[in-house]
Amino acid sequence: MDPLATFIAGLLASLGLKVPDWVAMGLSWVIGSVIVFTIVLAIGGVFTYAFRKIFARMGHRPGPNRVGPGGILQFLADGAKLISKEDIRPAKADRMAWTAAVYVSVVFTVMAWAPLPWSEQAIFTNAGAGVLLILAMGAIAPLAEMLAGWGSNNKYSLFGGVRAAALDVSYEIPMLFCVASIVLMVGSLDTNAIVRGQHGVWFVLPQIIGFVIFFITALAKAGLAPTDLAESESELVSGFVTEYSGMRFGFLFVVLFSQAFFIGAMMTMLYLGGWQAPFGDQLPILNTFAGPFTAPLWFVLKCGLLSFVVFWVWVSLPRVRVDQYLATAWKVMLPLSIANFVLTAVLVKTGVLG
Amino acid sequence: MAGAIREPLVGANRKRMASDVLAYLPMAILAVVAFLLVYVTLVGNKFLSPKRGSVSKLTNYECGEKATPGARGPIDVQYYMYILTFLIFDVEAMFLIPFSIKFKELGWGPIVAITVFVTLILVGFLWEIKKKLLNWRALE
Repeated sequence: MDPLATFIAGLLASLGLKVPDWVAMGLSWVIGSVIVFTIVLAIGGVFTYAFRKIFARMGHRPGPNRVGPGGILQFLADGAKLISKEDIRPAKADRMAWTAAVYVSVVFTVMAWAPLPWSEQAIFTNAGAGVLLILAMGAIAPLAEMLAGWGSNNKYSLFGGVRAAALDVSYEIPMLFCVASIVLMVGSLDTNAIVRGQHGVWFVLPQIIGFVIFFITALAKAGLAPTDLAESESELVSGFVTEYSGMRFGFLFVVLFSQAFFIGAMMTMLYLGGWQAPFGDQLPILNTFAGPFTAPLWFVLKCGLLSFVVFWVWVSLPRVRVDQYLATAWKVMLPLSIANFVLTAVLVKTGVLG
Repeated sequence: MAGAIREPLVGANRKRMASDVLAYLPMAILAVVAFLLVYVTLVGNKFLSPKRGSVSKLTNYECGEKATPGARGPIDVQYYMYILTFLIFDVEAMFLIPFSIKFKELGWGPIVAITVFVTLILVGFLWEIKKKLLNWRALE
């Protein structure tokens, strides 16, 4: 029984309802699912505001500043606007593919968040295949991009979808090798086991090559600038999201921004000690201040910092050309990540690491 | 040492398998819940939004130019090369991850085997680069 199920069983018992264990478990999973979904969309929504504010600050502009103090309610206003916008399906679009793309994109993005350990207990499902599950859900993204691109029946959309899918699959391989190097050191795919394995020394030190490769590949896989070739607005109108409007566009947009946080979360989990505090034990000040929320707070702090770096890169670097970036994946990132994997294997076998 | 990988499905192992499968049930529930929430939001969008469709609004958006007939047609074969290469390496990675999990307990036999396997794929990959199959054709 996980804490949420115990809590729900207790709550129902206090109302005079005695429920069997499996009902409490089922209820906790349904409520947990709603929480995970809300977290993903809320973070994506808040990040659309945060990104615009950071972008504006770096360009010496005020950014959104009308709705709420400092424009902080801007994302709610955007949401209200998008949900009351007309939902247009182009006459020539393939109805099935065009509709399915949004569902596939959102559902599998949300599912990728399930094995993320916010703290040792605050984890939606502690499946044994944790990291592999995250990578598997991420590997479905090209399907959504191709469905959207092909289904829209618009040349810009199709180019965007094909580019996104090509980038996604090309950068998937170096990413898999980076994760495999971590698995070599830990000997488990369990996300919590990976975090616990970093007690003392975070993997960013022994895996510094992997850390850099993972960051670049994650940017490319998520389709964030400087590698947002899928929706490079100067060549393709908006890539595979061109033909979507209203809340369908809203979902695709929020999913993109939630990726910025997800990159941070993956890197925190794999390389920066997850929910553990820096310098061994929890810092005493934060511990008394945050109580049981210390571990999730550390996790979110690290993710936030890395997300800021993602936005920083996004704002600073010009867009690359698609052939350059595909060549980088196969001729630079793949050999480097394989070399990193072999190096890690040798160091683990000789007893230097792990 | 190769026997270390194979664990018979009896007693404690069988029980662990059952609890492992149970750990994936929340993923299925999450998928259903996420699907329903997206559906409900889109239905809400339908109710809240105006419906003022017109012929020009329903054509493809191509920056105000007269819309082209559509996007059905051949896709550059270049992408096919990347996907084929991806497929080979993805299969390789799927062999490497179970290998990595048990790596610390493995003897030299499996390690040599996997090295040969990876080397064979890498030789093929080098041949592919030498043949310039991964270069962008339009720039040649």
